[in-house]
Amino acid sequence: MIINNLYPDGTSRWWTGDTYHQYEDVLSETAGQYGFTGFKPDSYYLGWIKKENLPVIALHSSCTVDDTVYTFVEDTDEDNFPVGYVYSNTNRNFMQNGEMIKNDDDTYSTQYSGLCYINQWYPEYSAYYTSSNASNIQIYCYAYISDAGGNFVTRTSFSHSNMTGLNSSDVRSCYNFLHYDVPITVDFGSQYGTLEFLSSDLDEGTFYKETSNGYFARVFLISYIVPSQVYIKHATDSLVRITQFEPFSSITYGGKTGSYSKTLLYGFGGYSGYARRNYQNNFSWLFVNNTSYGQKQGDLLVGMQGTIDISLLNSLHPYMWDGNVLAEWRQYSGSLFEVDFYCIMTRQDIRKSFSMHFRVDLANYTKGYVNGVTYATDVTAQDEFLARLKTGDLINPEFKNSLRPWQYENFQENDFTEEDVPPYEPEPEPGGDTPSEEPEDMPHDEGDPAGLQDRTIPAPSLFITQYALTYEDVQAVGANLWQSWLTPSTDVWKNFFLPYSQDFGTLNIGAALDCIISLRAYPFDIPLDVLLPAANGVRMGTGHTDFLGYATAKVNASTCKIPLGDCVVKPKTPYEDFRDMYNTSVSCFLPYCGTVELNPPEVMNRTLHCYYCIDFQSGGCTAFITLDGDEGEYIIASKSGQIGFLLPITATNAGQLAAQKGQDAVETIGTLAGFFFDVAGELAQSSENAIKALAGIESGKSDKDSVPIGTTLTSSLKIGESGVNTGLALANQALKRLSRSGVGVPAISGGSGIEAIYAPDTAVISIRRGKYAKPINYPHSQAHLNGSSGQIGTFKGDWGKYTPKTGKGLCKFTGVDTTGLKCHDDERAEIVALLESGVYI
Amino acid sequence: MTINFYTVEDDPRTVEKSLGNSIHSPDANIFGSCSVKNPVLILAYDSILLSANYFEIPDWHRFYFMGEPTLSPGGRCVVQGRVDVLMSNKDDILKLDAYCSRCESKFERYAVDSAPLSLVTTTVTNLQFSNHPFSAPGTLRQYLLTVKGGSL
Repeated sequence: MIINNLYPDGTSRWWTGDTYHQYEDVLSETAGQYGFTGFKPDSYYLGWIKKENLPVIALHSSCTVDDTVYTFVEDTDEDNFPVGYVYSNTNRNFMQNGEMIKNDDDTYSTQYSGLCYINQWYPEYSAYYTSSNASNIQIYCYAYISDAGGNFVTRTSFSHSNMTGLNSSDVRSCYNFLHYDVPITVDFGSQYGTLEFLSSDLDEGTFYKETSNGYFARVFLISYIVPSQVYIKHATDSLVRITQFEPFSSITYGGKTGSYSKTLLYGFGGYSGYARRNYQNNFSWLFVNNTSYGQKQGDLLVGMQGTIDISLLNSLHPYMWDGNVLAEWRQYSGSLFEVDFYCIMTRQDIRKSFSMHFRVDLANYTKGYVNGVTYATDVTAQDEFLARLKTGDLINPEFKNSLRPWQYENFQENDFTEEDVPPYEPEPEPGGDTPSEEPEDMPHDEGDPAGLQDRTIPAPSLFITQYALTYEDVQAVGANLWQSWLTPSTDVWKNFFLPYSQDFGTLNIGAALDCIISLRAYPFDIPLDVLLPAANGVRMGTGHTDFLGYATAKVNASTCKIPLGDCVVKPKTPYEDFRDMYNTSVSCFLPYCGTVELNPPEVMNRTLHCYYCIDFQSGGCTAFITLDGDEGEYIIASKSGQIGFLLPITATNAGQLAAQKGQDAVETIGTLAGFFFDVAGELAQSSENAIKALAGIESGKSDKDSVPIGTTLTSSLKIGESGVNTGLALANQALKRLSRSGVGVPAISGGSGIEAIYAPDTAVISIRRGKYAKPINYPHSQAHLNGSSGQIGTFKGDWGKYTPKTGKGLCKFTGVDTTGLKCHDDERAEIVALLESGVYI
Repeated sequence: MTINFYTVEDDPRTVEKSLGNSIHSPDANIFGSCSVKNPVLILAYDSILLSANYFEIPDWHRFYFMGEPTLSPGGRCVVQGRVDVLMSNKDDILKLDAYCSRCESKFERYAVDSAPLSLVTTTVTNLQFSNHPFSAPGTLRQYLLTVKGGSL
């Protein structure tokens, strides 16, 4: 791993402390500020680490002398991280959406201004804002500094002040754009240890500038344990302690205010103020090896932060990839250290190193262990390259990682080996009059885009209440329902027999049971944005009895939308031709719904989005797959299913569930056999005889096992609670006659069966494509279809990967216009013949 | 006139050949008839001529493929050449307009191409979406208890 300052020409250029070396393009130096002009694509400052084709830069915060827009960009692959905004002191374009400016042809602009995005290889780069007044914003950033030999020297910081004209919204956007991960340390006391994570790990966490002195850091954390103290790491490595905790009751979050019980739900925020605490001044830089490393495809940068015992840290090194670890550890207290370490590892090494070691040894550490690092146990999933290890159960395992891998998103897996085919590269611009990258007849953006609407239906909260409970809450309610009446009470007879006790304002058990409609389990955490606090616990009907005993939360909407994020369908045919489209099939498995087929020409090389729309009333769901169009996302596929699993806790529930299962079974078979049911669940007239035949029941007769002899199956036969047996019997009979696998198993494709929880819960896009025999030196001997016109000389390309020997590539031409040739006639004919048969240019 | 001899490794179909430095540059004069397209050169023997395979006659603005040299009495070496029309007209050729049917590095990805070989095996690539929100109900707030009323 290259640490700092290795420029493309191999020289080192360093910053030391507050001074910088005079580079060729540095024109001036002003005390307290550092000015540069003339940034060039190959020139980087302050340190530069290049990873493949992704040069990134650590930029000094003060980088302007004039209004010149500084530029660099090298990588044009949109799937990599944006690289390098250069901040212009007077041009505040970075305060925009923070995206790289694209040219009209979708290449990235090589000239733009914006705030620098520090590369992910720096262990701790932080830039954030503090202000001494409403209009004065400061930016801090720092980077590691090494000497010419690559040995670590120090870490320096820079600051730029007097960024006037900004407001809190500007800071916010810039903060988010920076992917600024604020290290947060939560100390739960000696019994539970400490937890560290980055603000980006939280579901919701924002930092924004206060208008008063200092800045306000808001952290939302759901915890079973009240933390004793919380720290936010300051850029100068000191810890800023959150001195004021604000319970949710006084915080407006998501537009909703309310209070939560501190025993179950604790949120806090606070002012950083000026209370700062420094680590004990025992800093040690542990450099295992800072030599350069030649990255290869499949390598991953793994960076983690967390608390760790020093002995554990040292013992990890043998498992790290030799020579590619940068570890920074600071002695916190005693033998407890805070550690950041970064290394490059293959997926196999990650699993080997972290799983083997952490899982075994961490149990011996009662304090200072790596919190919240979970381990991927699926060793067969090549895409699971996150080394995640679950610690013990001292801390709620749903806390985000303390050791968090860095920048693993968007890693593009390439399943070709180097000796197989050349690496995938973006399609270069054809020469001359070229066809568009996507032919015009591709049905991409035809018609008005129809995407998911951003809306919801409120819950009928005055008629019903839907409490969002944990499993422990469910147990507590059950206990209060069925066990609390055992508690001796002088008025037990009133509480048990009377529906409502006006004397006590309580609801007795029997009446309570009548109020329960359903209990459903969902395979996801109910989103916070549809929750309201239920300060009075779980109540039913009109009673005041709290059947939970503490505050909880309730759902205020009948629906919610859960995004599954993005997935890019990359073409992978090594010869990059039509077979990505026409000899390829693309399907998407949607958990709890089933599989949908996608159209390869529509999705190839496109980014797909997936959303689940949940119906809390029925537990149903519909999964939507969308694409980005010119006017927004539009839906290309959808499939419905059942995602809320009904847990029968009353007799009515049980009957409903059985009926539903029977209905599902019959409908599944019926669907396969072409039957259909009307809304009431009644067999359509035309399907009557068919299903009877399927079940082996002759017209006018009945299945003796299920229906009384003599009963005629008619279209009025309903599959309901009273007809459960009939429906199930029909299904069972039909099952015997249908050999197709999967029949009658609603769990896989949806259905009310709880057994669906065993189905896969990860949406997966499967691309089936042919793998073709690779002709030896195919591109150089056959060349690819081009189909464009232009000057012959413009068809030169980067031949290096194809013809490393000669640097020239094969081209064939037809329709040659020989105007301009000043040769003899027979030479002209020979030239044309050679061009048509193929020449190397 | 001067004749420059080279040892060229490029394929004869290469438009702009990499010449390198001339390995032999004798002077020559024309006696009698000489074809410009297929010249025959009679040169003083020099062993280096045996390693040349390409020559240039700058005065004629042409390059030639060199055939097998013939040693003749009197210390002479007879060299036959065939004009390389590509190299001789490379600047003009590169400026010609044409329709490119096939190209090694620039191509229309989604055009149907019958040249490659046929399917050998089927591969499956599985991709996941970036978020994985689903898991078995555990200790999170994942249970919805629906009751009548209860809004107090």
